[in-house]
Amino acid sequence: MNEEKIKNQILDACSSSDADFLEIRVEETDSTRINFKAKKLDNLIQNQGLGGNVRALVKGGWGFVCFNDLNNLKNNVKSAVMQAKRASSDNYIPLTGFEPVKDKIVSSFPKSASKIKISEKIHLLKHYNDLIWSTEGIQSSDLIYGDSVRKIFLVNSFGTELIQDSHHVVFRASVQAREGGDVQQSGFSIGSLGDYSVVQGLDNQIKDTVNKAKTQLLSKPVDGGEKTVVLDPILAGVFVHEAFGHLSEADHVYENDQLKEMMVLGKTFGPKNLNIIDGAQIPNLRGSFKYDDEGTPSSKTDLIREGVLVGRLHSRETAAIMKEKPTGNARSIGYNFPPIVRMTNTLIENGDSDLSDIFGDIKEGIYAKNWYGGMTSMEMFTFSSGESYMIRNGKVEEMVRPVMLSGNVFSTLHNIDAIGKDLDMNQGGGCGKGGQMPLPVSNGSPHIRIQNCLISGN
Amino acid sequence: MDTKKILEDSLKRSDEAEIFTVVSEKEPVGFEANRLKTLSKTSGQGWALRVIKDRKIGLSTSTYPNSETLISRACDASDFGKNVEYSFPSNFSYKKNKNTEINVPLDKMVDMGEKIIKTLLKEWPSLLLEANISRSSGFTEILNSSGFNSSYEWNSFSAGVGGTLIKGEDMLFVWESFGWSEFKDYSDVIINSLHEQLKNAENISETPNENCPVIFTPRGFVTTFIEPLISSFNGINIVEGISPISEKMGQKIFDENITIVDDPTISGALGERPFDDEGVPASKNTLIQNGVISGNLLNLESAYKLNLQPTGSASRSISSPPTPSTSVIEVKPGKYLYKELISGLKEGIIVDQLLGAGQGNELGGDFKGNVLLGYRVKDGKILGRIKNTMISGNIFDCLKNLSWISRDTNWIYGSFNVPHIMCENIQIASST
Repeated sequence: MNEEKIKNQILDACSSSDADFLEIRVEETDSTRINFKAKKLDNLIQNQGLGGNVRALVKGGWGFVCFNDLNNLKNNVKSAVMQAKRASSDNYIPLTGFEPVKDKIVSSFPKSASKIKISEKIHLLKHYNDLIWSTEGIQSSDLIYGDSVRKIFLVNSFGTELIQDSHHVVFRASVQAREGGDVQQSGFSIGSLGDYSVVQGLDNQIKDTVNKAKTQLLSKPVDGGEKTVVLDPILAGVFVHEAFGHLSEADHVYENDQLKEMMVLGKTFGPKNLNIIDGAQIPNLRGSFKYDDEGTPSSKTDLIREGVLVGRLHSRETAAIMKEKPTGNARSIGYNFPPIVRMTNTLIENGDSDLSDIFGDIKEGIYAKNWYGGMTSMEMFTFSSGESYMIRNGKVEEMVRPVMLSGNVFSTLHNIDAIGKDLDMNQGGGCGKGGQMPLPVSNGSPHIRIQNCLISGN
Repeated sequence: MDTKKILEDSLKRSDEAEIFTVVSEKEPVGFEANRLKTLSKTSGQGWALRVIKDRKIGLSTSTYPNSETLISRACDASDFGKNVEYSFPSNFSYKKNKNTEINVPLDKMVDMGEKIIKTLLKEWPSLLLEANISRSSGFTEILNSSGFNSSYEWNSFSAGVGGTLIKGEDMLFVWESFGWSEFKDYSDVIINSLHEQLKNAENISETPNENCPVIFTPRGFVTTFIEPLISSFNGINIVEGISPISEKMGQKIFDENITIVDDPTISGALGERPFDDEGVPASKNTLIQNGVISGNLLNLESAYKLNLQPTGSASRSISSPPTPSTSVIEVKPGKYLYKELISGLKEGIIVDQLLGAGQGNELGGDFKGNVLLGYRVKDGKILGRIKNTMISGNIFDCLKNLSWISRDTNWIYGSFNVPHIMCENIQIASST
């Protein structure tokens, strides 16, 4: 579509409302997904998308209208304003501190996935697939490759005019092994901000995954209960995202007086050497960007400093209501959803323990690596390992069935008693909240050790 | 977009073609922190084109009318596509469902939310409620080169209300939702259910040390068992040999009282449809009959590979290929009322919401999670809520022998009609 034409159409429609705040976002998307299942290419899909939304705010009430047809913008503005008026109330706090931005961000990098031919992508996946099937004892496999380009046009009644593109590449490999009724799987995920080279040269990781699926079939289950666990940087990344990240999203807190009290800045959540940050300003990670989906410049936010809660993640609205600074964390998965407070790149900073110290004095425990998933309900959270091993007398021993770990935000962080210095980022995940999934995020950590961590049996 | 023209134009460059169209509109009314916050209207449209050329299939999709790109991309994709030996299905006649329009006014939806919030706040003043009350409608159409040319309209009305209650560092989450293809005033049902959850959870109870029987409420059943079950009956997993029931058709591997049916013909349920997303007629599909594996979920492709008839189980979103899934699930009820069964129970736990279900090895039938909302039962009484507790098990182990299935069932999300069940063989772990 013609860039100028879209922009002018939006600017024109945006100028015609009596809302306290009006925002129009239009998006163009183009994505490719290639899926190999078992020995063959299963699907190749290309999706093209165009759509937009109008968001209006009147006295604290929001209206939101989303559409695919851009020819009806003015009517959509009218509907959104009417809806906002219906939801308005006399008791509200206005949006303040809105600095308009006028900018155009065009990403460029040497090996953009969107410029690689489909035949080349298929060729690479076929190579990995052949590698998987060159070994014996595999029941099935899945390779999923996806890349996408999203270009947004954002205009609001405070004067913001923004064009910004974002590129993403994701790749997941999983291998299934079976013995009678027992099916086990192993896998890994990676991703990048559009750089294709991240999916190249993965032969060793693929071979490793095949071996792990087979070994897992032979491995024994463990009993559930409280145990000493060591998390690798990838799973510890998922841990920090689930255990603490979501609770630092201000939209859970801003209208909840009890939670505000519970999450008061200055409260101690963990040991002295625990530091947690989030920020899209950290470059070249999957949660990195220059402006969020409300046009707020990205930043880097300290959430926990020396074990103490010092900050949280905001949208324009939550920041205004809590009288704190917006952090550039309002994100939306697509034009059919309004932006909500989300994480970007979340991590535990390096500590001071060597790996040998972390494992050294564990008599019996679990080494949990790699991720399968994670979920939170604020207080309680769960996260699942992709692979697990027994630790005995400081040594990592045999593989066991992958465990699910669970914790309580008010106790589990305090139980972290060793933090390594090998920070690594997990770029293969996506986050879900309010029906918006998967949102590109990254998370990471050095190795960490947690005492008395509840794990499920298998 | 002129779908007939797209079909014609596609056939100039391919041997067979199918165009799938979805148009939908959703209007949710959102409450946050005990007050009306957002009114929305979300309209969507999309087209998915599949072509078969030299027996190879290609797919492309779009949310805006750009037929030339749609066609050329689908044809290009077919160059790399997998071999297909099946054809798209031809037309059949069916009785059009009565056109029930969702005509509930927005004001009535707002009133409903306000009534629920106001009523619950009377007894629980520090409760923080959020609600989403929504009406939607849509249209699905399939046109293909075998002559299929049909469409149907659908409607839904749903209401979901969640409450948070915080005491010190303890957070309690309660939740209830209902959905159906026509408007129903669910406010009293929701109020009663949330009231009961809040009452039962008022005290915190210790999780029993020994592994005891576990009762799953209908919602607990859906969260815990449905995904691993669907994954086992999914034709694609059966073709690949990664379903634990791959070679077990006709065998009795579950409790004889378990009968599970996938039935897209149930009038009014969310998921009712005359044909599936590939144009295969919808029909009742018994998956488990008295514990015996008696059916599976097949799309065109998996049916062809297994040399079986497709079961009308294909589901797709605009941007994904059709895969086997369920429509409306019914689990056959048992003999006694849930309340009677609980009153006769010496010791047990009730699982209503499970956090993290679906993160385990679902392919193998495993489930595990943290009991987000659950209670302890002792000597026939619900003592209170259990916390910091995880359960884990395998569906093939714990559905082999059930202690009981209740006579009363609940509709969950308008798509699952499920009783309460009690099973053993579940590991319980808790922190002290």
